[in-house]
This record gives sequence, structure tokens and C-alpha cells, in this order.
Amino acid sequence: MLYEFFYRLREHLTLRGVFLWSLLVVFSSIAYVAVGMSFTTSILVMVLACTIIFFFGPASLKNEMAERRWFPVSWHGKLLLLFVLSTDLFLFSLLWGARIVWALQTPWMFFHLSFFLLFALASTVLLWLVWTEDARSMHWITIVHVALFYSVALIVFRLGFGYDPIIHQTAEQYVVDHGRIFPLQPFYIGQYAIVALFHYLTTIPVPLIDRFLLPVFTVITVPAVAYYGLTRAYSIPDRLAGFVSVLILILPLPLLTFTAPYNLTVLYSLWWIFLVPLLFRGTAMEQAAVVLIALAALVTHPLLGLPLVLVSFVGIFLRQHSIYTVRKSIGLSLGLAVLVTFSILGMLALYRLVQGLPPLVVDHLGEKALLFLNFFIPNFLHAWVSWPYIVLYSGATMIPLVVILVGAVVCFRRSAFSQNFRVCIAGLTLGIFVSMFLVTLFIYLPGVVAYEQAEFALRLRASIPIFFLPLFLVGVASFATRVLQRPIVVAIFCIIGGALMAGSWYMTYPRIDAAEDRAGWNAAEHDIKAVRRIEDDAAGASYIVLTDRLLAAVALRELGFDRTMVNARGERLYRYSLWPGDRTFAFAEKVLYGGLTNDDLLALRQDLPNVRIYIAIHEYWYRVQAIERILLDLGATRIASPYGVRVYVFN
Amino acid sequence: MQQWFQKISPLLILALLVLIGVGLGVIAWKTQQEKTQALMKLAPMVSDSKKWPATKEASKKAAPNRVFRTLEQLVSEFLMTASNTRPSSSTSNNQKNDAGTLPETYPTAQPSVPGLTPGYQLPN
Repeated sequence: MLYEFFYRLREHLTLRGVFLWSLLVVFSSIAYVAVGMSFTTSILVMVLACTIIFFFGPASLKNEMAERRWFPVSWHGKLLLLFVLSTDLFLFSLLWGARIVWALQTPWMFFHLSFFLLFALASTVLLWLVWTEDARSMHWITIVHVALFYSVALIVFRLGFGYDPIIHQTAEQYVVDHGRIFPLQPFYIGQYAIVALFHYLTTIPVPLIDRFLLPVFTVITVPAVAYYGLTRAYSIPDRLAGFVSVLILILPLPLLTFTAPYNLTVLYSLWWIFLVPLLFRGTAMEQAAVVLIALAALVTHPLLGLPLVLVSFVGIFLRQHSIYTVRKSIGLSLGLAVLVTFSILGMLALYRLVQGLPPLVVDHLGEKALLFLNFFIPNFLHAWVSWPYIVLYSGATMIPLVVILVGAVVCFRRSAFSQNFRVCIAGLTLGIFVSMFLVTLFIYLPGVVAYEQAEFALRLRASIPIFFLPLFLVGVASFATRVLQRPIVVAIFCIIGGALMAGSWYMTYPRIDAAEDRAGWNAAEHDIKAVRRIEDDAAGASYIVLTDRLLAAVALRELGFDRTMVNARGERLYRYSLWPGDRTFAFAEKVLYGGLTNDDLLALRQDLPNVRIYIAIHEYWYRVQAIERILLDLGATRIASPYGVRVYVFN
Repeated sequence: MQQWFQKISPLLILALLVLIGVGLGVIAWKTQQEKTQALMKLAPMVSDSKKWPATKEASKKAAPNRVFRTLEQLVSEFLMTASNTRPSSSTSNNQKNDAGTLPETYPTAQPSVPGLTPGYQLPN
């Protein structure tokens, strides 16, 4: 029986893998809400999901891959394969050599232009190989190349990449320690539950699972799901699907480089869009897989999850009804767009209502409309930049647009797609675009700092090219079959593709260059040491720390959620100025931007009597010298602290 | 002759690819080594920090900020090699904003040193 299970799994790994994963996410989320995560619930969820996949999982299909040979026949094909593999491994080794615990803004700072040229060369040869050779090893070398593409931040930033993952890792550790987090929230559950489940089943530390989860799953699943979807759902010939799957890398998708709930839903959206035509002509189990992916996205982050679930159910409904007239198609598309728009806007308005605020904010509408228009103006044009950067940044701006336009044309011109499919894609993307405008206009989220209010609208903007990506690849495949006949034309196409991939690789990670210089800093060793230093210096006394959000987040991960205190007004505050709603956060902003006065200090003392006040400033903060002068004038003392963070105390 | 060339051409292209690959690889490896080692040399200072001056007067006489100057230099070199131009003046901000815009209510940095740490003044 076990043999049969693995045999059937091997027969059709991709769809079964996606099906199993989505089941695990949905079941573990239900378990999280119902009883909380524990070793027992994790085992039960795993057994239940495996049982379902065994008895009711996607039906086996003919595995065409198994009939192919492993390696190219020609000797030069084998040597080119070896060339790509050795180049990728060499680039991996260079990345590994740049691993660092010091504060960095960009992973690219240790690398020369030749590093990117080498990647472009490997990408060019890979494209040539995938076009000319028909062997199973082409898929494995594609996965190695995709792994190199998405693992830069994972390798270089030894202590983690970004700000959000630090908070989520702390929350996940809390879930593992306590089962769940109260009050229960309708978001992030999918990620917290699955990380806890993996921790219980493998005993791997939570931060490690969190860091590897998304990059590793992207690398494993995106080429496989793209290949499966393009062949089975978008009806592209087998070899062409392998070729265009590599071209996914020309679209920069920075959110797939680190784990966060929304980023996971971006991965689920990619799976969903590659498989969604199966809603209309696949088997019942393939339909179920598409709906399950949407549900997994919903329980992880509803911003994209809710539209995906709505469109999936509308798709199932439309399967029973064929649309014949153009008028009816337009009407249905607009209706679906309205549904998607109201689901996103309604969800965010409801969130405000639950927080005790009016659902919509109706002020400064003109300014907000201008802000919306600003989303479409490339900001690198504001500064003078040299031509290589103009080419690079223009390309990065244009590629999503090209993906959308080509995808839209293919969607409506290619007869292979049903009218139902077109209605769903048009309704979904139009709905997301309109919601982006309305969210910018009417939504101001409590608990989110002012300069991140546009974040949700920008996320929606970035999601639109994803929904046209498979259609774009279908267009490229059609172009390739017609144009790529002579070797010289193939070579030129591969060189352009390789250059685009190298550019996309560079643009996928934060950059500091002539056109872009606003990348944030990442957690460093000195942040952890500073948190420990303050804890030691306080020696059990009650204290607060006014600092920037990164150091506060590191403190949260080091000390946990329970380091809180109650101020004179009876409000519960975290010791570090982390949450935008806390009064300490406002004082920290005054410190950071040099505006702290004696009156502020007195107000803080009245609010928090008998509490020691620490101020921690990063050495790299642009006002560090000015702040030091102000703090010393106000009577603060600088204490010995790890290099990289200056710590002051008001006793 | 033409037949002979057709036979040999894949080998020539492959040889050319390997040559270019090795050349680029050597340059990439050497620069990566130089840049990481420049920072790693300072690692003992980073990980085993010394006591810092606790008074205003002593603070003014603090040792040069070597780590950040090295980082600045590395970034400047990267920019110089990539574009053969000086980097633009920076307004970087560790309150990361994915929108890529600075909050309007906050003052914009007046850069004093081009490169990584705008507003950072060279020590006396």
C-alpha cells in the first residue's frame, strides 16, 4: 500500500503536491482556529490530508517526462549542460562567500558587474539548451537556475531579510509555544499554522522554517506548476512549455524572495493562474485543486485570497453555462469586476469598522487621486542617471506592462480559451485595478504608519502582471514556433532573454545605485547585542526604549511579546517603540527626526513615572550625530554598547 | 572546408563560452573577495566592540567610523564599476518604505557624504 502511495505520487507529483499542500494549509488553519496547534493536531492534519490525497486525489495522467532520456544526446549539449551547472554553482559559491551578519541594505554590494554578466551568460546558454535539447535534465537545470535567482537574500543576509519576517517569526514561535494567538484574526493563519505544523513534524527551529519556506517552495513548485499548467491547462506543446517556463524569470517578483503571509499568497496566485483553465475543462479533482489553492490563499492573506475564491466559485458556476454573446460576456466581466472590487474594499472597510472607525475616509480626495496617478510614474526618472541605469530601470518598468498587454491580446485572440475563462480573467484584473484606485481614495488603515498606507494599493498593482503571466508565455511560445527557425535567430533570442533575466535578477532585490538609493537596512548582529546590552544594563528595572522599527522588531524576536508595561493612563505599552498606535512610537519618531524637547521628556516622564528611558540609534541613521548632541544636551548619558548602535539613557 | 567548419563550430563556440565564463568568473571572484575581506578585516571590531565614550567631549574625539566608511567605499566602487559615474547623492532612510517614497512630513536628509550614509559627517 505504501509502495502504491509513493508510486502514484511519483506518477503525478506536481498536481498532487499542490493539492496536498493546499489541503495542509486549509486543514491546519481550521485546526488552529478550532483547538490550536500542537503535535497531536499536526499529526492528525497530516494523516487526514494524506488519506484524502490517496483516496480522492487528482487522477493519474500519463507521465510524458518518464519517456524521455535523461541527458542530451550530442556531446556539445552535454558540455553546455555542464557549463550552466558549473556556472550556477560558482555563482552560488560567490553568494555564500558574501554571507554576513553586518547591517546591509543590498545583497549586491559585494558583486561586480561581471557577476551579473556571468549570470546572463548562463541564462543565455540555458535558454539555448532548453530550446534545442529534449531531455529530463533540462527541467532539473532550470530548477537550479531558478534556485539561484530566488535565494540571494536567503544566502547573503545571515540574520534574515526584511522587517516583516522578524515580526512573523516571533508570532510563529508564540503559536508553537501557546497553540494560537488571541484574539483570533482572520488573516495570517495559513502561514502561522503551516509553520507550526512543520515545526511539530520535523522539530526544525521556527525561524529556520520561516526563512526557507517561501524561497524553497518557489524554487520547487514554480517551474513544475508552470510546466504542468502550460501543457495541461494552456495546451502548449511539451517542449515549448519547458522553454517558456524559464522565461518566468524575466518578470521581477521580489515578494517571492522572503516569507511573509502576503508573499505566500503571491505564490498561491501563481499556482492558481497557471491551473485556472482547468476549472472549465479539467477533471473534478483538478477543479478541486484550483479551489483549494484559492482557499489556502484566503486563509493566509485575504487581500488576494478573497478575489481568488470568488472567481473560482464563479468559474465553477459558469462551467455549467456557456456564454455565446459578446454583450453577455462584457456584462458578466463587469459584474465580476464589481464583485471583486466590493470584496476587497468591503473587507478593508469592515476591518476599520471593527477597530471602531468609520468604514471609509472621505477627505483629501484630490490629493489621493494624484497619489494614485503617481503609482504609474517611474520614480527613477526624477534623478539624473546614466544610460545603463535608464535601460535597466525602463526595462523593469516596461516588462510588467508588456506582460499585461501581450497576455490580454493572447487571451482574447487565441481561440483555445473559452469565453468563460476570458470573463474570469477580465473580471478579476479589472476588479483588482478598480479596487486599487478605491483603496487609495477611501481606506486609511489603523496601526499602519503613514508612509506605508499605500502598501495595499501597490500590492494590488504588482499582482496584475501575475494574472497575465501564463498568457504572456503562451504568446511567447506562439512567437517562438513561428520565428525561431534559424540558429542565428535562436541565438539572438536567447541572448536577449539572458540579458533580461540578469536585469530582472538585479531588480528583484533591494538596490543602492545611481537610480535607486532608498533600500531599508536589515537585521544585524549588533542589533541583537544592543537589545541584550540594554536588558543587562536595566538589571531588572522597568524601562522603555525609543528606537527605530527595525531594532524594535529585533527586540520583539529576542524578548518575545510579553515585555509590556502599563502607563499612567492605564494603556498597555510594549517596551520598545514598535507599534504605531503606542505613544512611545510617536516619541521615538520625535527622537529620530531630531525634534525631542525637554517638554516631550517631561510628558514622557509623567506618562511613565519611575521608568528608565533608553534611546537607541543606529550608527547608520543619517541624523545620528545631531541626535547625539540633542540627547547629551538634554542630560542623557551614552552607555557602552555594541558597535553599530548608540545607546543613551535618561536615569 | 565548409563541412569541416560546421563540425568544428560548436567546439569553437563552446571554447569561446568557457573563455568568457572563466574570465568573468575570475573578475567576479576577485572583486567579491576584495570587497568582503575589506569588511571582514573589521569584523573583530564589529563583533567585539570596545567601550564607547560616555561624555560629550569624549564623543567628539571618537575613533573614525571605519566600518561605515568601508561600506561607503564599497558601494561607491560598485557604482563606479557599474556605471562609470559617481553615485547620486543619497537620501536613504532606514524607515523602509516599499513605495519608495519618503514620508512627506519627515525632513529630507541633506547629504554630506555621497554613498551609503547620507548626513553622516566624517569624524574630527
